[in-house]
Amino acid sequence: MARTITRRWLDALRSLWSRGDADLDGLDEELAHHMERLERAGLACGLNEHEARAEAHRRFGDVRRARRRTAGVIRKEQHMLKIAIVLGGLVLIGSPVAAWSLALEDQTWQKVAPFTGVRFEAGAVLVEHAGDWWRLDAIEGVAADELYAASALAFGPDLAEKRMSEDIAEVLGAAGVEAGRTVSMTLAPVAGGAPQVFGDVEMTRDNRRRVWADRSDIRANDARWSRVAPYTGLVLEGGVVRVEHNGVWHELLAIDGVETPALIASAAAAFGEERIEKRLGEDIAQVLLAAGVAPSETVTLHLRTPAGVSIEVTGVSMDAEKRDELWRSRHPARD
Amino acid sequence: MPDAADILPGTLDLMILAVLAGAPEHGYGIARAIHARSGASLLVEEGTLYPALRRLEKKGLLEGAWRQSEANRRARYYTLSAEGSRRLAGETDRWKRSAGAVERVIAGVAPGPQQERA
Repeated sequence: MARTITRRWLDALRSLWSRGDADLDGLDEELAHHMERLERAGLACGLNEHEARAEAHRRFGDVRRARRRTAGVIRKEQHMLKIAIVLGGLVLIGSPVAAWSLALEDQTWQKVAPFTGVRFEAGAVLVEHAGDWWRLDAIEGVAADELYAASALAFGPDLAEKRMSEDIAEVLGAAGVEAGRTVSMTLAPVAGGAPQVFGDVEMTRDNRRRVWADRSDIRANDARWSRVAPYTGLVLEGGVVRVEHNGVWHELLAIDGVETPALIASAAAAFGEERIEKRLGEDIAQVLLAAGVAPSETVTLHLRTPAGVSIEVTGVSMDAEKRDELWRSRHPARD
Repeated sequence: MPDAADILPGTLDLMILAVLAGAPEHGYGIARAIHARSGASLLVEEGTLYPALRRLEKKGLLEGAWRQSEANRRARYYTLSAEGSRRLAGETDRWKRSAGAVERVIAGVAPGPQQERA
């Protein structure tokens, strides 16, 4: 029975991978059909071959861009299906921990950026790239205003700027483009001048962290971060911090890339040696600020599970309820 | 002929669904239908149709299948699904209400002079 299920699962995987190539081949045929029909229409109107081809390209627009954006939609769908099949299979054959880790790992690509700073000024999007500020014209051929519109549609007008700054991979996804490890950016000098295309710009977590820090002044004054926590319990014993996440106690290795020893040092420097445990638990947003990282609605927890597996949990909410629960566990007499 | 205008954001999906309410069509045919039905008033960069078609297909509003085209070539035809028909009815109603409201707001404004072409 188990062998049959495993075989079916492997067959599904194999078929999905080969279908991916077939879908992209089909897309090429589909676009070629459209271009051919446009060219034939031009010839029928009396244009010569060269003119007909030029007219077809004018009406169709950038073929490579259309292909890239459509392929992005196709790949995104297949990617989700693959994840579902792989996870389902791993759970079926008895590896729920591996499946869980894989699911978590798959989310980590979202916390990356190709630029190190973002500003929204007078209707333009300015980004910092290679130490200079530029006007952003497009990423992967998608115009900056289209990206902004996609961000506003997907996440709401209030979060459009935040998401475009901090979650550009998700915004590209919302615009129908699957972000890879690198992207192309079309940037124009802020002082004026012709736009330049920067190909193969790496999407890195370090860039994204710098965007986050750059926007810290926006968040630092936000009262929302004064009494929130991403976990419901915390203890510090012999330099090891253990936190309660979803009812399970894990060793805390890092928050948003800031490793535990650095968090401890920041808490000590900002609030004193005797209050480290209290501040890590009840005022983690302030500790993160002291460590040079601005807090946000969600954080990434790097944990070591009770089974000794190192995992990253992204999108963990920083909320008041968790902080209240943590506070009550630390002050039972006052409850 | 009026100057060609860009498509308003969010309306491409609605127009694709409306064209396909008549009969299954391939991408080229959809582009031609939008062009013809708008009286050549709308400027559609035809390549933008394809991400929209695949997105609508992914949402279950369209179904795509390969068939022989009228030009005797293999082409991918899109058909409106039952869910797509329901969405089209809802979005059409919403669009008409919005457009009617805007129309009433601008009703008293006199049209500006025609811009001279270079």
